[in-house]
Amino acid sequence: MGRNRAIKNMFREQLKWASWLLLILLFLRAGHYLLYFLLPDAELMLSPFVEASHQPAKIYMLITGILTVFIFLELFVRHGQTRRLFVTGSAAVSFFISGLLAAVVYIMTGIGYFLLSLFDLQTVLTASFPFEGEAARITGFFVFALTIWFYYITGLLIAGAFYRFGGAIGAVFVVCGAALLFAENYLWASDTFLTGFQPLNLPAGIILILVTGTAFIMLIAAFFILKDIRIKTK
Amino acid sequence: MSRPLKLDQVDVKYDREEILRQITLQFESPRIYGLLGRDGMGKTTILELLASFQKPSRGKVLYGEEPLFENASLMPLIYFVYWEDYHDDYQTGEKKIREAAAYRPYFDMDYAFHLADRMNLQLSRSVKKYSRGKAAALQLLLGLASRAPVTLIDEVFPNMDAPAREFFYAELLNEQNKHPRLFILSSHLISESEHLFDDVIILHHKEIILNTPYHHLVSQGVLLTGPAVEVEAFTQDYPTAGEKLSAGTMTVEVYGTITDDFIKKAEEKGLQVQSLSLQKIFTQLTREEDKYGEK
Repeated sequence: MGRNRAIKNMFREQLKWASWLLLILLFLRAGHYLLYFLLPDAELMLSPFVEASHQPAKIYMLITGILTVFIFLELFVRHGQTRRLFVTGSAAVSFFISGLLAAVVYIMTGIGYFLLSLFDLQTVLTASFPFEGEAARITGFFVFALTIWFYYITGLLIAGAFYRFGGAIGAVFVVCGAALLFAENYLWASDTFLTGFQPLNLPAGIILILVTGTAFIMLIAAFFILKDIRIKTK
Repeated sequence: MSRPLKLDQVDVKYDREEILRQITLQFESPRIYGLLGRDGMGKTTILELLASFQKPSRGKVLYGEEPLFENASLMPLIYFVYWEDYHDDYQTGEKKIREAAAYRPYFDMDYAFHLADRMNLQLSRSVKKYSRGKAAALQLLLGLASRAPVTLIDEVFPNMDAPAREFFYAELLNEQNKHPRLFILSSHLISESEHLFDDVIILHHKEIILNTPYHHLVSQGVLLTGPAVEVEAFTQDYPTAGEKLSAGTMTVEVYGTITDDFIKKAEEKGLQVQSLSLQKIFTQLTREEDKYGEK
């Protein structure tokens, strides 16, 4: 009874948070379009919704990973659920939420593109659709879902280390986590222009395997940190 | 339902600091245990071990014969009431009750709402707005209504006012009468809660210094009052403490095995004999010399 309830409860909360994220993203998107039409001389260009929402979704998942430890870990143990259930349940719920977020964002991108094409306004967008071609779109979906899940697991690991070891060692995990996130960005050749690094130009499939593999390694590390962690009452 | 809860040769260390040393305890059900000790002696640590909130550095925590830590089938049978700060918690009181009910196999929702009514808890309000007393009342309500075979209560009720505490004590005894189970209470309010205890465990400097039935413990000492000369002469072969002298009348705590013969002789000498309170015994056992060498 309690096991299912615990997972459902976590899923419902994370779904609620994800809905808020989507609402905010849509609100901002509406604002962008409004500015575009109100200021025709400003020559504003809009990136596709999927591209514009990728970075916010990553940050959102990082924060969700951190919050999950501080909100749900104690709740689970207080109500007689195991830490093992917390880690596995949290990984599964976030994996599902990542896929759901990616699906909703892709559907909204499609709807947006369809509506623009009705009025022959596709030129508003910097690109007609990310990852042109059917196969590339499917790859793009997995890239979106897996990279935001990667951020969630990073958040889980960092928060777990902070909860267990406190400030100094927790800070080391923050640095390691930041380095991994930077490496992930570097592999996709995004957000690295400021550093002057050249992208590796690896095939997307290899990068996906690297990112997913690293996420699983981090998940295992989080499991070992959390599996016998002391729940603080004072 | 009646399996014992055990700590077997348990040590707890944080980094290099030793918190508990070689603790072996067995709690039987249905009983109410008072877990007493001065501040920082490890009472909360023991409760955290029993609630699987932490793992011992060495030794075993068993429920029946099964290890308890991370045991998915046993952990829901143990409810730990500890002071939770609701400062950032926006849930309503009702949601807290429904949440606990969803996780706990024996939770009695009707009883929870009945208690909330008796405790004047406004369940539609966010718990963030509860006073400390009301928050403590809700936390104890959840513990009682959980009907968990093992309920651990750590220093929550001092946050409530005296009438609310009295109500809780009465309700605890009522509950134990109707649904007998194992309660372990940690408290500093010894004098007002001692009537609850079937057994008393005193923890001092990382070790158990006393573990005995309550009635046996309070028969281990008496309070003698009478003329100072008579009292001093009568008690010269016994360990004594807490002498108070006023206008030639002395009151003194006498420790040791107090027999019927002792009481009869004392009364023949015109001395007044009273039972010692648990608080007096606790204070005597855990009193320490200060830096001036005084106890």
